[in-house]
Amino acid sequence: MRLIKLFILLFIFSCQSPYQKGEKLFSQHCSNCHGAEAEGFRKLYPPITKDLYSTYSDKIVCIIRYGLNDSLVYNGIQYSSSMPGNDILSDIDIVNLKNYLDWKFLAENKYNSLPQVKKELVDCK
Amino acid sequence: MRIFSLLFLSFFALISCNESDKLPYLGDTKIVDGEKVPHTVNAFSFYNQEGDIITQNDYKESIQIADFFFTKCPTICPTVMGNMVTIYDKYEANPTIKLVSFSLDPKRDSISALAAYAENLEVKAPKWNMLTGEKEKLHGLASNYFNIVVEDEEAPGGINHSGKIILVDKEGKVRSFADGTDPDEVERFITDIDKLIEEYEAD
Ligand code: HEC
Repeated sequence: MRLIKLFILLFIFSCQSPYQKGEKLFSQHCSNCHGAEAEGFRKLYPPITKDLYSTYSDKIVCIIRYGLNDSLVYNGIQYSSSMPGNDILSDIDIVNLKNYLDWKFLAENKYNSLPQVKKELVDCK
Repeated sequence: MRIFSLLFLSFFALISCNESDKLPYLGDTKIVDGEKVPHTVNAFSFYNQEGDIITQNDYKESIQIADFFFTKCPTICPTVMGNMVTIYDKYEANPTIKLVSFSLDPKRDSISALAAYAENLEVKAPKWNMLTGEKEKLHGLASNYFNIVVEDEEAPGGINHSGKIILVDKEGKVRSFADGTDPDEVERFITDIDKLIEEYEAD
């Protein structure tokens, strides 16, 4: 009986996504534009998908802090508006976000290092 | 006896039903010529996204659903505008319902910037006018429409403001409002729009 309970507990926990902090930061700072499920909004805000994210993942820490003005085209739609930078998010927040995004869109379980992200942030400009 | 009580009951039902269906008049009342006049929205004259001058006279036959925003607003506006789009879609076929969004950042929100924004949201003037003009006048109108605006360099996008959506009747009286970022309030607001439509249909 004990064992069953343990299994149920394990089951529940394994269903919960990892990177809870990153997920929360996403819903606080990103989903107002990109949507709760990152589905995008009309021709104003693009969705975040595996394809799109894989082209932008190298630069994602810079994009989060300094924004993006690429007029990107996806599925035949040109997104002419730009993404504003976010100077509220700390370096650690950005690492948490990147871990979550890498997991969510690339199915990678990465633990990006803080010093590495700090260095990337310095090199953005 | 039966008949009397029935009449009595239906009479009460009628009264109470009338009262609960009519939306209140919001804001401070003024006394004009000895009569109480509810808060009325001020006159204005701004450019819309198509380069047409729009004034309050364009809304004489319309129920206005208004908000204040700016295209570069990174935080609350996308959510508020998302809810405005839901309202736009719901009442697309009803010509009395008009949406109007006043920009709080006219320096960056030129007529062409507003045109691009409306195009990206896939909405059209004059059903939904996005208005720009003199900053002082736009900010001044905000408080008249129950919104608070403070310029603040520290705030994301440089302007702090409340994301309220306001329901204005054909006479320019404010009849309901909602926090445009709160899905439950927006849902209640939509039932208020329906009540106001019914009010005019009953006349
Ligand atoms: C104010 C709205 C807004 C907010 C908030 C916002 N974005 Fe964006 N984002 C955009 C727009 C607009 C683009 C497209 C920019 C372009 O075309 O140059 C974009 C593009 C992107 C892209 C690249 C293309 C894609 O869709 O995959 C990524 C990745 C991204 N955003 C991630 C984020 C993350 C993570 C956050 C939260 C930290 C965030 N965004 C917050 C508006 C926003």
